[in-house]
Amino acid sequence: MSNLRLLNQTTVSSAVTTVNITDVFSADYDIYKIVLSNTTASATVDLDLRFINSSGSVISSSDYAYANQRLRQSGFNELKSQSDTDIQLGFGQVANALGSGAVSYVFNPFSSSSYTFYIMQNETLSGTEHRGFKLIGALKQVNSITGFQAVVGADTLTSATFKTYGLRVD
Amino acid sequence: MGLVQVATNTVSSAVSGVILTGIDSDDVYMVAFNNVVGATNNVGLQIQLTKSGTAQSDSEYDYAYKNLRTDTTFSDTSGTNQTAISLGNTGTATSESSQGIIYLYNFNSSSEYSFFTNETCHFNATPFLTGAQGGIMHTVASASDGVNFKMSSGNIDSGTFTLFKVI
Repeated sequence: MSNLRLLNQTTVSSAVTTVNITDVFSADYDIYKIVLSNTTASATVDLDLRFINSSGSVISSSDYAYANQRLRQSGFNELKSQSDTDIQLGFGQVANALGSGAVSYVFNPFSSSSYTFYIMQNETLSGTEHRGFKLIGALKQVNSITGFQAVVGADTLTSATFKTYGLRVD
Repeated sequence: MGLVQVATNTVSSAVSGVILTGIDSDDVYMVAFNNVVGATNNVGLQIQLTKSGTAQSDSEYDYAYKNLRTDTTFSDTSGTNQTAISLGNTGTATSESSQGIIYLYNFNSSSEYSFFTNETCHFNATPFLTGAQGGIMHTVASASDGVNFKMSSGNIDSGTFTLFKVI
């Protein structure tokens, strides 16, 4: 049996501005892998990330830090913050009907003694221009985190599949 | 994609290093680590490979990274003929720790070099969030069977390190 255990599969099939995936992080795993695929949107949209605590509340305080390398044909640039209300571009971007793909890892979310850490890579395009993102992030709280929210910055996400896996350590 | 656990080590009291072995096929392998804290503030978590279970400290490691950081402009770091490669610095205060995912390629080959790709993130001693995205190469064409983690100075106080085979 694989040590990569599928814990949740959430499919978006109609226009939404947020996707909440709850009760996926637990004491059973310290590291999680999230795979985002089959995405479309109403325009080229930013897909941001927030975490959800064990009370079911979406955390929107200014406790997020991130550093994001944007790779573009027109030039690389960097996006960063030490105190934001979400991890901007936490799942990168989605290019309207043409889609995107992203793979990320979440570290220590359920721990009540550690920050939650995050790594993501995304590949997409904007207009006709290819772009990719390589991102690190953290939620600077030691609360127990049990889920996450994907937030569309503007317009809507029209389809997507989020698969969340746990890396089982025996 | 699936993962099969090959070796794991959770450090709960200070050790000088963590060796994970068991690479014995031409598959890709992956190492995941989290909550790694050193005994000494603001030192780097380093990686080496092992041959026959022994960490290699020869001057045969080359690497190149993009350093992502939240405090200032990102930077490029590279080097050749190193004895070990730092994955990033961390501190010792609460929540200052290291985590990452490293893929290992060609380790079992006796005729190819061993390659690593790494994604890491840390809260360092300043503190701010930082991490590295890049790769490492060990320029010796002989079989390797694992990896060794250590700090650039002092012991590892805590952390979990797991080696998986990618299937």
